[in-house]
Amino acid sequence: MRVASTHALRTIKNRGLKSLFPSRIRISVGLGSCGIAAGAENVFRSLKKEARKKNLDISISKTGCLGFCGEEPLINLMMPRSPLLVYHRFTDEDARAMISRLALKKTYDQKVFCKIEKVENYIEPRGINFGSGFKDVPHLYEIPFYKKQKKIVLRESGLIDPESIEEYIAVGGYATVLNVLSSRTPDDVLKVINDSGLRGRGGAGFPTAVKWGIARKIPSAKKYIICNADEGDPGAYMNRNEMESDPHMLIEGMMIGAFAIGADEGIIYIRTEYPLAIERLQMALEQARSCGLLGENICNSGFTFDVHIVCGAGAFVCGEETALIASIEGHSGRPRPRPPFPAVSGLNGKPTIINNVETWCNVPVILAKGAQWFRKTGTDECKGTKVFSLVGKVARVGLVEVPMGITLKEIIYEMGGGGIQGKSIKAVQTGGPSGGCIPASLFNSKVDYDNLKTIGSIMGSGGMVVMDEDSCMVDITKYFLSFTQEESCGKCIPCRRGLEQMLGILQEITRGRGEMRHLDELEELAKVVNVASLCGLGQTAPNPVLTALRYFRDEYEEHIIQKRCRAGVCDSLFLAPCENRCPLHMNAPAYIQLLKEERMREAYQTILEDNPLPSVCGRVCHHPCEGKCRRGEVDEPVAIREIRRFIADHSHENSGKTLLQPKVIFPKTGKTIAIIGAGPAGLTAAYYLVRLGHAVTVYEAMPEAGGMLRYGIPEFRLPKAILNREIDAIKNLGVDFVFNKKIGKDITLNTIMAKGCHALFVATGAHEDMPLGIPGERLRGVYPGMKFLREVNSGMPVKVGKEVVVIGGGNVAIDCARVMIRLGAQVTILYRRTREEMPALEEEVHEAELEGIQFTFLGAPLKVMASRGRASAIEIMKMKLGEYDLAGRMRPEPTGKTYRMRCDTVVTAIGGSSDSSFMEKAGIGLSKNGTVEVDRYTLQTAAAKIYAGGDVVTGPYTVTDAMGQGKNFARIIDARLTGSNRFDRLKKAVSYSMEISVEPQGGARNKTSCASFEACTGNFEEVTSSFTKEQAISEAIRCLRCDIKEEEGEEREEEAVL
Amino acid sequence: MPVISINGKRYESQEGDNVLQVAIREGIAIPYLCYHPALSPFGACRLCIVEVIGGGKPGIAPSCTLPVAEGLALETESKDVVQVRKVLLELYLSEAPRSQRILELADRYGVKRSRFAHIDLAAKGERCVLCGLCVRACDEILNVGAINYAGRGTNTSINTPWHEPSSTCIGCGACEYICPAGAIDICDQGDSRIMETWNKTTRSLKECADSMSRFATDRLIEFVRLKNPSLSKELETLSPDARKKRIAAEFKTKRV
Repeated sequence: MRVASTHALRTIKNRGLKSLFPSRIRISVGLGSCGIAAGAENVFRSLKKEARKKNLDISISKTGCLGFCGEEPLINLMMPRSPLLVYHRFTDEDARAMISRLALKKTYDQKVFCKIEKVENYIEPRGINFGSGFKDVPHLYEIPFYKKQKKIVLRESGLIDPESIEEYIAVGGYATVLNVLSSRTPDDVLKVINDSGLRGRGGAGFPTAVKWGIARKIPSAKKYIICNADEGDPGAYMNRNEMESDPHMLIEGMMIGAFAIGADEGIIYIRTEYPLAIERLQMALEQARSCGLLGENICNSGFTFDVHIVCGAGAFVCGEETALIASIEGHSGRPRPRPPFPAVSGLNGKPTIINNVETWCNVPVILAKGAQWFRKTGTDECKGTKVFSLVGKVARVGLVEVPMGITLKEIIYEMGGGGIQGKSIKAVQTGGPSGGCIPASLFNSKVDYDNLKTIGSIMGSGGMVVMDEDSCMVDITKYFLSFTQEESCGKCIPCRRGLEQMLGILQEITRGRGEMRHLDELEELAKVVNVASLCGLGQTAPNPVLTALRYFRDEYEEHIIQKRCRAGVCDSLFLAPCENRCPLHMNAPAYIQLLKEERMREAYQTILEDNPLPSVCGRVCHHPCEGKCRRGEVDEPVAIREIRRFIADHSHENSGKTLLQPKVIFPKTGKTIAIIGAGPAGLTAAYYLVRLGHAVTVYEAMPEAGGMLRYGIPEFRLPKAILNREIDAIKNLGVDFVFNKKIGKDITLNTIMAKGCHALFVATGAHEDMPLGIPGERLRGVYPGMKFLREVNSGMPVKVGKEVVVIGGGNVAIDCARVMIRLGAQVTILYRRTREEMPALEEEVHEAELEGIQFTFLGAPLKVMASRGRASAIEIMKMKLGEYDLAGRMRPEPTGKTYRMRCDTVVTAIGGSSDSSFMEKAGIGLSKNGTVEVDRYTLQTAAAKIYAGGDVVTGPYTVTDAMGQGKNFARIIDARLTGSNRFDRLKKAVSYSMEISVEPQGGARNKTSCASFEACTGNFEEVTSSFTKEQAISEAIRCLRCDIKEEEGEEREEEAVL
Repeated sequence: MPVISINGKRYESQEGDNVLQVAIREGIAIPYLCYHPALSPFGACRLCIVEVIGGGKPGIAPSCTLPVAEGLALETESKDVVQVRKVLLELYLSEAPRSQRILELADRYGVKRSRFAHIDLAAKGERCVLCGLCVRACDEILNVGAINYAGRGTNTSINTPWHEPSSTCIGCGACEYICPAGAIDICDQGDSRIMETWNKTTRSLKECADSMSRFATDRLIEFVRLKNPSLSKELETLSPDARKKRIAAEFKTKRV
């Protein structure tokens, strides 16, 4: 029916309302591309088929996307006068079950996601009420993903049928344009848009009204308006979704724009890769035409306008407006210089206004609700909302529409839920290949055009690609650059050749052939490409490189100096992901394969070459390797640590009395090296240096060697016999130990240096407890955690009470608690956050729970109360989790409520520090938190010949990381002292099978057996036992052998890392 | 008549001029490859960049597409301009290592060699700088459009459709004439003109009635006649030299 008046529109509207709110049940299935990809078409068909089978009189319709693409298929169930129920991850079975339930007049209660009672921001002033009910089901806006969203452009998306003009009209569609045509002038429209502060949503943020004003003023019988739907940024699909879910909104926006500037022809330039959007737009255009809303003399207003679609072949550069015009004109998509700007001389030389899909979509609602209404959302400079596609390494993926000025933190952590499986987020790329990588440290930044520009990125059209710890920033930049290089039209030389050269440099760096001069060249080229390129593509293409060099320079340097890719992406730089992540770079695939071949001695030798303390590490290593194990993507990671423990223990048990020793020992060099501290870092350095032929003396404050291994870790986790065995092996290699000499007290750096050593390595660790800083901390019965462990581990008698509270959430806190429970106490761990945020190793926490240790979360100690001079209770502030911090953890905030917990013993274990005042005396600077400052790559301090490593440099960290630094020091100092690279010659080549099967072998991950936890009191025996041989071999079979790579050849270049 | 300042000196200009036009008129040396007074500005070579220091958006801009405006002030050899231009010349050196014009310009700016890796020049040869003058001359001046850009990005080259001998080329040689890089090879062999660069597109040459020399392709003569049917028939059969001789001879006869 043709709409000749607003009355006629009302007739269509009534039809639409009946379809949208039928008197029977209505199910609508989210059939955007994302829904279809998740199987929504099958669901749609199944629903129809089942309903027919059951003879059920219900309406089953299509709808667009509700935005939460990670939860697709999403479907809506609406029963008259009930809230709209949204179901997620809906399957065929769900469809059948739902229809069966509905046939019995019952609701389906599986997979219910949320409910919608009322929808705001509709053109209709009253909004839309679905009804209330379903008390237990959360509202849409209670779901974290939606909580901070403000849906203006997406208000109807996922609720109405995008293929029905009637439903669009039912929610107020086309009323605005008809009102504009009948009662407003073009100048009125321009004024409203101007007052609203609307800026172009394509990314550059140019004020829309200013652009329109230019074209309006130019006298021309022919003017064009164009919708730029050539959405091409990797990871961006906002526009696709907007067109698929609500195509009429775009058409209405273009009509209003055309009326404002006096155009009679509109073009939607859309990429061919969006077939569904094209189909729906075509359908919408036909519907609008047949209703008389497009065409000649629309609704007798005298205004003539029509829209047609031009499909682009998918060249990214065609998103640039002059290239886009060239493409519509039938030329190849190459930009031309501006001025003249298209608003003056565009398509076919006529004034042409080009706006992005989202800009056009904002127009009707602004005209309907007024500029002032629109201005209420957003910041001073940027009004309204912006739709982003939140993708990449983020837990919740989808489209979010947020008010301008929201912080990145809110989007990524609150809506996006942070990293996948708790991985830490490193950066976010906004603006696609034209934007930049914003590091997590800047996630407090507000999102608007100007702010993002200040920090080196751009708003762009709305792609937000999240990167986590497994993303390599060099590789990411290489990816974006290979994209822009590929998409460069080739017209101007900076973009054509400059990007090619930049990409070439990045390739060299990722292949381990980088040099430091490359970084300068990259910056120089980036500047030239930026200032000298013809169009926006070239001008912005260096942004990812420039921001990466600004915020992630250390990763570039690691690739160049250390030939290391910490994220484990650039695979020319490492053997396998586990090896790459291991601070000692242990060749796990080798010893796993040797175990499989039952070549035990060689397996052990291989381990021993990389790690002087195999049995120790087999027990206490925090096994970061397993976090990177690719088997984890199949089922669970290989139990690498347990395999190592088995090989080491088995070899020791079967070696009789002879200590197993490494094979390669170099002749004496005559160089002497002093090491301060016989902990993991010092022992490791000593082991390698003595094998390299240097004379090594280790000075230790305590009476025995081992450091934290001996005095920090309790017997039940690391038996002293095991530790002694491996330390003895190091002693037997010829390392000299000087015990009971505390540096700074019994001996000074200067006296050691005066003995004529060639280098000195400070590895004194971090043994001081951090004070809580609360009253009562010095009462009797309050123990600092590490001091307590030191005393217990030294065999000193410790008096503990019956009720113990351990304060802290790290491994030291858990160790203290587990010692306490063995000493016969009742133990509670008090932690100010929740279990999820505990930094302690998950398995330790789990074992502590099994042993009967109680946990009190969200409590912060305020004061230790005394009774007769002894701790008797703790006053605790009840905490709640508040705002996210920049690392993505929710910050504990006091609630104001306090309570007391009775106790007679308190252990504080909130972290350690080191006493490095002896370094200051030698003139070596310390950082703010008391750690020794060294060069990242050489470990050298400010003083000549003095180096430092381990906890004294990093602050309290892990055993393996300390050992890694010790090993690193040995490599560096040997090369410096001998002038040659001998370190790798310490390894003896061993060959083993390089065959692998195509399919992953082996079953589920093997578990070690644990001692009975109930009987732990008084029992300091080791808790977990080693794998049996059968277990170890069956675990080894699970290894995917990532060290076996394809033949060197063409490197993958464009494979998306997103 | 906007007055603009170039390198501190004031110059009068015409409304609608671009900065490069003014500079060329005033004898200020700004290097360029893709500009030609007879063709529309193209903005591809980027060598003509200048630095705007007043009266406009400050920063680097190509002078060929920068319209003059009252009070516009710019430098043609500022530190930034020279630095960017040098890098561009380095890129040109790796793109067109055998182009005489590029070698001269690089020499003028003290660029001895390119730091950048060698690139695959198979598609476009070792002289072409992709300035597009040939394309625009063929299209804008002659309306023939025998050649155009092919491929894109680093694979861009200038060629005939499908990289085959052209059916529309008239063999006029304007492309070779206008090319700043000496990248187009056309040679006359016997009765044919062979456009080597354009996939050996071959056109037959007309023989001069007087001198018996081959002076223009048949297609070109036809093209000219179609454009201007009133031209004397003589022009179609005589080479320029022969025509001169004849006119001179007639002139002599008349005087005598």
